[in-house]
Amino acid sequence: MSDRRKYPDLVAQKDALSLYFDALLREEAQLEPEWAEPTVEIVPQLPVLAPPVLQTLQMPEPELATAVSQEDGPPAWADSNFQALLFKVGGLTLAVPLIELSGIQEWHGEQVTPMPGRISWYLGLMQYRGRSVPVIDTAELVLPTDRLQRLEAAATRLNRVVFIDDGRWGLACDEVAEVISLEPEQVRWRSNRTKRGWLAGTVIEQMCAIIDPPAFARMLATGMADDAEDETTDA
Amino acid sequence: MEEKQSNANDPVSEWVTFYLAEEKYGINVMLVREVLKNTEIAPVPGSPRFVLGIINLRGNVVTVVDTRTRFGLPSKEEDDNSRIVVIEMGEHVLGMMVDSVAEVMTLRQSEIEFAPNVGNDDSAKYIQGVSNQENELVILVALDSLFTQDELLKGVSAH
Repeated sequence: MSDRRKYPDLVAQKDALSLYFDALLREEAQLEPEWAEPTVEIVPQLPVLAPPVLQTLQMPEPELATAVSQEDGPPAWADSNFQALLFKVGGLTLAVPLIELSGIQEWHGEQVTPMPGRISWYLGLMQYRGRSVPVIDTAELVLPTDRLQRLEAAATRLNRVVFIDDGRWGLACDEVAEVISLEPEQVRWRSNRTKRGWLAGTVIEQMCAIIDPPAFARMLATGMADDAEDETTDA
Repeated sequence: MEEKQSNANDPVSEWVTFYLAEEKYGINVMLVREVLKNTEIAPVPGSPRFVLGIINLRGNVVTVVDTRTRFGLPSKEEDDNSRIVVIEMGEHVLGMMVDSVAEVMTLRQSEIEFAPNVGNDDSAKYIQGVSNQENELVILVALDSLFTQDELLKGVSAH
C-alpha cells in the first residue's frame, strides 16, 4: 500500500466525496462501508477518477433474474458517453440520464390530486400526456430524516417535475439545472446496490448522484425505499 | 355534458360522488342505499379507530365509519354539509361519513383509468381507479377492498 501514500490528496478527495454523500443520503446510524471499500484498492492503479468498472468485471456473473443484475454496476446506457440532466432536491444534486428522461413540467400544486394514504412522499396524481401520473416528493424520499426536518414546505420548495420511466412517474424537485456530458469513467459506479438501488453512481465534478430511473421506478411501485418501510406500521 | 350512452364496447357506470378533504371521490351507485344528514351517532366503546359509532336506521342498527380516518386523512368535525352514505355490501350495511355529497356521475369504462400503485401502502388498494372529468380528478373507491370481511363483522358485532 506504499503507492497509496503518493496520492494522499486524491484519497482524501474521494473520502471527502464519500462523506459528503454519506451526510446527504444517510442517517448517521446507518453508515456502511458501501462506498469507501472498493476505492481504496483501485486508487493506486488509477489515481484519477478510478472507475469501479474494473471491480465489477471481476465479480461472478449473477445467475438470478435480470432485475437483480440490472442493479449491480453501471446500467446499460453507461457503456459510452452519455448526457444527464441535473436537478436539485433539498440541497442534493441528482442526475437523470437523458435517455431515460421522459419530460419536464412546471410544478403546480393545485394540479396535483392528493390520493388517500399514509406515504408522506407521495404527492398525488398529475395529468401528463393524457394520463394520471403519480408525482413524488423526491427530497422526502431520498433524504434522511434529520435533513428532512430542515426542508422547506413542499408548496414553496417545489418548482419542476421530472418524468421518468416512459412518463409513468413524476419526480418533483426544487429546480432543474443544466445538461452535462459524462464519460463512464467520470462516474463512480456502485457495484453492489442491495440498498438504495436507485443510486447508480456519483460524479465528483458536479457533486451529483446519478439515478437509475428503472430501479427508481421499481422502488416507487413497491415501496422498497429505506425510509418508506417505517410508514406502513400503522396499517 | 352530453348524455353518455352505453354500448357493448364501452359500457357506462354510475357513481355517487362525494368530497373528502377537498378531493372528489366516487362509489358505485349500485352499492349506495341512501344518503342521510343530521343523524345522531352513538359512539361504541372499544370499536376500531375508524368506527364513529352506530345509528338507528328505521329500527336497524348501522355502523358508521369515519371515511377520512380510513383513508389516512385528518379527521374533521361534522358540519351542515356532512352526510352519511349508507352502502350495502352483500349482507352488510354500513354508513360512511363524508364531508359532503356532490352528484351522481355517469362514466364510460374508457374514462376510467387504472390508479398506479405507489409504495406498499394499504390505502392504495381502496382505489379502483381514477377519472379525469372537466379537469377534476375523481377517485373511484373500491368498496369491496375498503373493509375486510373481518372488519365488517367486527364493526357489526361492536354493538
